[in-house]
Order: sequence, then C-alpha cells, then structure tokens
Amino acid sequence: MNGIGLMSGMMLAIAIYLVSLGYANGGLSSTAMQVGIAFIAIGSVGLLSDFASRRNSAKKRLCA
Amino acid sequence: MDITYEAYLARIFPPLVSLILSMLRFNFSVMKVGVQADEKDSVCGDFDRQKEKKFPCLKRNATALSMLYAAISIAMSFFVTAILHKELMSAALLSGGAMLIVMIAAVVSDDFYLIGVRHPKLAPHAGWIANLAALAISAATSYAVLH
Repeated sequence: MNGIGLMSGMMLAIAIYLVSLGYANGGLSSTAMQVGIAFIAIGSVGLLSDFASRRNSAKKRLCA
Repeated sequence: MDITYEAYLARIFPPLVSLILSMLRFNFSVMKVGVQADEKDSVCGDFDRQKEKKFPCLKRNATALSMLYAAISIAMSFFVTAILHKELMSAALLSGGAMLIVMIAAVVSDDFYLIGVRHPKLAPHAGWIANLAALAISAATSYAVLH
C-alpha cells in the first residue's frame, strides 16, 4: 500500500461513520450522508489506483 | 445551530499542525540531526559524502513518516469530531478500528517506503501533499458533522 492507498483507506474508514450519522439524521438528504458517499467514491478510486500501481510494478519486476 | 470558527478549528487542528510541520520538513530535520549527533556510528554510511548531499539516505523514511503523521492527524481529528455524538460511539469505534488496520497495512507494506523509486517526481512533495489531503478530509468531515 502506498500513500494514496493510505489516504483512501482513511477516507473509507471515516465514510463508515458519516454514512451511519447520515442514516440516523435524515437519510440520503443529509450532509453527512452525501459527504460519506463522496468519500466512498473518492476512496474507492484511490484504492483501485493503488492496486493498479502495485500490479504494474510487480509486472515490471517480473519482466526485468 | 450557531457554528463558530473555533468549532471548526478545534476539529481540524491536528491535520493543520501536521501540515505545517511537514512543510517545514520536520521529520527530515529531526532524522538529520539524529544522524549528525552520532557521527562515528552513522547508519547512513560514508558520513562526509552523505552530509555533503544532505543525507539522501533519510529522505524516503522521512517522507513515509510525514504521510503516516497525516493519517494519524486524520484519526485524532476524527475522534475530536466524533466524540460529541454519544449515540454513534459504536460507528466511531468501527471507523477507528478500520483506520488502525489501514495504517498498519501501510506501515508493513514495502510500497509505502518506495515512493521515491516508483514516482521520483512526486516523491519530494508527497509528505505535504498527504498532509494537505488530511486537512481537506478533516475539514469535510467537520462540515458534514456540524451541519
């Protein structure tokens, strides 16, 4: 896991709380739920790019 | 609800301090002073040459430490924000546990220390970029909780 993976993981961890907070206070229309969903989206993209970067470097190491 | 600037500042204070420290290259300075303090038993090897080149052997560890501080500051800021909602303590603990797992996974991964090899252009700025991201994450979390 690199720095992007670390930050993305942190975002996803906070998203758990924000989604719970949003669910308890107004559902989908609440700010907490919307920010939580945004965190899930950004965090997932970050984690995917981390996996892709690791796969790329593993392939490069195999080819070398 | 009347929200004051102090309410925001209290919640984003840990990442703000971490960002300022990373911009001052705090980790690197501390590591450098540590190595210079023990000239004879230096882990960097070839002390004089390393000193001339400003200790490149320390840079990757200093960057990794800066990024880890960013993550720790997010966790601290999160608990300042979350501790006021007593009814959601189990969700806060679940998030805290997930943060701990993410941080441990990063620390034990080799990729975390090899940013200089994988992304040589980004590596010198990775520390403060991570801290800036931490500040943005904390600010967004505070906004979501306070509104």
